Amino acid sequence: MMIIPDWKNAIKVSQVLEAKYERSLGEAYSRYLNGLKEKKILGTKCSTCKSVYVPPRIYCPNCFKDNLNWIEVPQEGTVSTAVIVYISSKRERLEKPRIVGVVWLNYVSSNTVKPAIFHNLLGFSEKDVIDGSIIGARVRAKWREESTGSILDIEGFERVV
Amino acid sequence: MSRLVTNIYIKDKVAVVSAGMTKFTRRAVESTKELAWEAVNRALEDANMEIRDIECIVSGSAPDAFDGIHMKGESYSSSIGGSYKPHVRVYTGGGTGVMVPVAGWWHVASGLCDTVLLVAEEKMSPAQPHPQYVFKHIWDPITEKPLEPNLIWIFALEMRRYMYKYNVKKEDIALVSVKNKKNALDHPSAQVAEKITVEDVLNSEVLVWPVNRLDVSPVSDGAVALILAREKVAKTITDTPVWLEGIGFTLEDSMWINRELAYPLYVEAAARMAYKMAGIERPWKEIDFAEPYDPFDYKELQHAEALMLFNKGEAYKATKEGITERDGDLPLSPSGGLLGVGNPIAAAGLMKVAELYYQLSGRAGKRQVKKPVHTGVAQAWGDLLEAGTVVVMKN
Repeated sequence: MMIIPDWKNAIKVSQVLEAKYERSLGEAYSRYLNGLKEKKILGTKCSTCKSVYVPPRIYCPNCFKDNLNWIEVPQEGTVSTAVIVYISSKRERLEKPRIVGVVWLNYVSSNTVKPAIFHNLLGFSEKDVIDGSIIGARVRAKWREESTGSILDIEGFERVV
Repeated sequence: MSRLVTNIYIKDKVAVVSAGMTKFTRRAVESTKELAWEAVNRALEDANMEIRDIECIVSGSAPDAFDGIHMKGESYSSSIGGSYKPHVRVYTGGGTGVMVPVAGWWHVASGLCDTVLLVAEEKMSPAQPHPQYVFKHIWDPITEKPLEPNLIWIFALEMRRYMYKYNVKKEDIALVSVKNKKNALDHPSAQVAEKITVEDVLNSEVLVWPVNRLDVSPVSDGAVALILAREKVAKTITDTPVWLEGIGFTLEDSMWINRELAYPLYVEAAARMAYKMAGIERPWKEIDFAEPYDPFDYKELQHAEALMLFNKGEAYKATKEGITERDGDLPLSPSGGLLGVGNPIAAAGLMKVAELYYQLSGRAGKRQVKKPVHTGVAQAWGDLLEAGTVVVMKN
């Protein structure tokens, strides 16, 4: 039967698979990132169902038409959910925990689609996440000095006092 | 919600006639092909069938990237008896395990095949330094990946929203992990079966608050196989066929930040489709037991609610009262679930379907739920909180 007694003594081979990707962002994300470069948050609004999309799309998945208009949305919103991150993307312990969450931006949309940004939340404590006071808190985008046309042009969303 | 199925012409009734599975482990020494072969061989032995008795094959495996083998379905095909036979691999992320019987059902119900072999195989352990790293590439490359997210984030964000919206406490959610790990003590394939307490869960390593290590199912390798047959053939194979009476599958928009996360509407849509096909109008009364997908403890609660077995935000109360225990009125995850048996992604979903088969054919042994059972539902979820797959089975 099995000639391998256990994982430790198994004959193993180690390989690194490399694959590099370069993608065109398409119209919606190109305009979104250009907006970020100018420190603006852009979205699209469907003229039929009034859904507002941030991140933007050039088609409405509900109506399946492309009659959307570009709009600039406010840089303020409320926190819909937030967590405290203790591990990196490679599952190593972080030196300093991060608080991240989803911000629903203040712009009237349809009932089911919330214009939103997923980002760092600044100026909150771990306690605010645990006791739930962070949810519903008003926050505003904090921009980095230099902008390059990336979601990281925003440093995070900070509490509006 | 979209308009659901109203009329399906079914040529043949579809039965599950056997099941087989490997042990679930953190690191299997068997190769991918050997692992898949082992599960298939056990299912064939269970049915007293040979591979030549199988007409078609439906297989499932989650991202190729775990194993580092591209087009894995083609790679393992001959090890599951797929040469010169119709073989298709289906993939809906974590939903794959329950998507496999859904696609298997098409093959038999349409009259295309008399017998179909279902196989779900997963080896997560090859990915280094940790399979988590592979999950990094599931995120939107422009708006999410620059934040260096870990997959646990998204569950923590959903769990936090669920807790907030329905006022559910972490200690109430932890009860699911305690129950499922205990149930798994009776499962011969189990990887992380143990007797633990709510305190153990709350005191385990915090990964991304509110998610602690014991709120999460483990990384696993494993494989599961089932055999489906049309009614006439099924009765020649076994005296206790179990009928696959309803299937449902839906996908939600991948932009998870733009919607309410507390309630998985896509699971409800898939459940409604499956219930309608199975003639179930009041699932909370007509379903005897369920295997909702539990990669995280809160997800069993959320999924049981979307399967309409409990009111929104109230599944924790039933858990607290013991209703969802194996000897309760509506047992959830009597197998031990992903939290107890393990989570080799696609294989874990099919393990839940196998549990419906074992329970409904009266072959669950020490895991047999106390009350008589006639109808069960199994469900899986996948991708960025968007795929819902459901099957309903009856004896």
